[in-house]
Amino acid sequence: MKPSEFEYHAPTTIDDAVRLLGTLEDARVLAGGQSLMPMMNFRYLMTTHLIDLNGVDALTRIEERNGRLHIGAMARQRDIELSPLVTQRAPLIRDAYQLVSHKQIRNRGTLGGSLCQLDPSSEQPCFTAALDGVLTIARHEDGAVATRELPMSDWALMYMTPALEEGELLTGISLDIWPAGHGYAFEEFARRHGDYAIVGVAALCTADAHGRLDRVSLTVCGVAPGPVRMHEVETALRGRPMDEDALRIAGDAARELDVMTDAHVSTDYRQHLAGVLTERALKTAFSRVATKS
Amino acid sequence: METRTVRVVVNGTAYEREVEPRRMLGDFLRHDLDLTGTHYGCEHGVCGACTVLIDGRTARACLTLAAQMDGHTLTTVEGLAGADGTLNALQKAFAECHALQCGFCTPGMLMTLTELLNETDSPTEAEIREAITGNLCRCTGYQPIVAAALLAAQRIREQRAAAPAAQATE
Amino acid sequence: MAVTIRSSFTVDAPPADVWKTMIDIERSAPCFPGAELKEQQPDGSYKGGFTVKLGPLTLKFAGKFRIAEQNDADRTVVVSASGTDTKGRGGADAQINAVVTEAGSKTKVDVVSDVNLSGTVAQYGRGAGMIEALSQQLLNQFAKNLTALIEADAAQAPAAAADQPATPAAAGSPAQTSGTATAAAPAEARRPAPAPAPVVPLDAGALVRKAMWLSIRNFFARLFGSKKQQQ
Repeated sequence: MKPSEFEYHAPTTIDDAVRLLGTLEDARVLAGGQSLMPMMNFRYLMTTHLIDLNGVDALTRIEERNGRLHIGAMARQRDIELSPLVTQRAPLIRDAYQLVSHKQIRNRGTLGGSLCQLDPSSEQPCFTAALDGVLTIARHEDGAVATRELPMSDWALMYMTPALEEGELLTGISLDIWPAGHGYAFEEFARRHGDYAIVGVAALCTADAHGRLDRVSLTVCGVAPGPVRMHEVETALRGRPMDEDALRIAGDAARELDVMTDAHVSTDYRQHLAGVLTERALKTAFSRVATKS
Repeated sequence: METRTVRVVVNGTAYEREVEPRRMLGDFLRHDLDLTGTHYGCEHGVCGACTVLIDGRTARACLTLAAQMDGHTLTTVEGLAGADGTLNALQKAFAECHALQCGFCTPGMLMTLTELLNETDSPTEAEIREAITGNLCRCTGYQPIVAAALLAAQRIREQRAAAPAAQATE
Repeated sequence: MAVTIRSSFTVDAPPADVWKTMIDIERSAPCFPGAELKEQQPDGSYKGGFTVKLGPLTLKFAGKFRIAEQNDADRTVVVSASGTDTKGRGGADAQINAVVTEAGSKTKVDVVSDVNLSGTVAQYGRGAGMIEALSQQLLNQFAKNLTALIEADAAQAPAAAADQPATPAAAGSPAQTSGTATAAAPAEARRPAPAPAPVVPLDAGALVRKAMWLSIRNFFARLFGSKKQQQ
């Protein structure tokens, strides 16, 4: 099983990468390769040009800027997982990465690659949506690099199809930083450890000094082409105490989600999982909240 | 077909070869460098038999292009034993604990556990099991592999504890 | 893998016009995003190609299709199509049943497609759900293009055709179809085109996607918020 022939390009700057992508006919980018290479090995996917992004160091940065966490599209999943900055500012991410595949995959895989692959069951689009991610997309225009920003909520066009035009490159992701002491949890159900989630839930919350919920973020993956933010529930939970009623409200709403059916899992089962995992994730998030004084 | 030059250090030895862009790392190691210790099980990243260390981190040789390795440092299973062929602590533990039968998954297992033992000198059983989730074995049922890893970790700790004393006596 | 896709679309034109345009294969087939119409065969079938982006893959089918049944009185048609991926990844054959009915001042077209996928394509990833979602988007785009074509016909009907040769491979869109054109120029003009056919860019994907994107945001808003069954 070997890929079909292609021409290989190894740019070292964002400018070069974007220019190549914008000017070569039938070109694809190689990020971590953990999704792309299997498809190329199977010859599902064939391309004339392969643009290897692994030499573009500028795309690997993980930093805090203007109150948001900025992660370059080529940052290795393992680096993000182990980053002290990420653990401090967005502990949800480290929790989520414990469930993402295996170390060998995370050592090479990238956040940008996962977002572009956009598997419905993938944990990374899920936490990106939970953290109100904003994506930076670059393209080659008039001999220079032009960029646009897109909120994660607009990223999924349909199954495994992100809102990337031909010749565009995802360069970075910025994420909300929740205040210190916020509650967080990532729960998922998969048949084997490391598998894509059948259903996964990312929960974030803060509470006031009286233990009443202030801000809530609840995102479900594995039920639709893109991660589903449960905005109505988030609003409904504001001001409520972190109790069984809150869990029930969230769980019931999750069970009512419009979900997809596939060969592996029925609609009923997915809805059931969504309900149970939402309650579990919220419960854990509640337990982690350090109430403001 | 245009070829790419790959200058790579494998197990401490520098190599320079011309490769087709689509040459996979596993094939490069096995056929271009005659290092057949790295095995191909599934060729799509799920079995772990082809696991090697790239710049000290485990990766699937079946999902990496040889051309990508230009300028990098690799360790394969052939690099674990001493120059005189003496098995290292992990390999010895594998042999003693019967952590291999057919041996097909073994190179991948060893590289994965090497990374683990480089990260921590006291891995728990849970951490060992977690680390090898990406390596499939059809023969052993994993128990002896876990036992070997625990034994190796223990011996390495003992070696390290003994080493300063040994140096002092030289 | 067998999939039955039920979908429908509405065209802002009288049923008679919609019917007439739809059964004129040489004009309606190119309205289908990614479709390329080739020569008509002696037996009445058409050779054609169909390029579609399914997640990370771009599939290019080459094959043929024909009108298997046509009932002008009821305005029902059955089209059968079959093709294989040019890169050997599998094949598809489809039986498409379309019914054109009046819906107030507009026309409703109900389509039931029985699609059979074989080979690698059939095993790919998300399977049925993905293919259904994609099919609905393609049909929505088909509806838009067909509407534009019918409107163009209505505008041109009294005058003789301008008969500009339709240029293939232009990345821009002709004025009438305002950025949503995705159809191929017929490979050979068997008769003079009464109106300039919409043109397809060599890369159908970008324009299709832009138009699709604009038209499916509502789809997702409904999907995420509502309680209706997706199937």
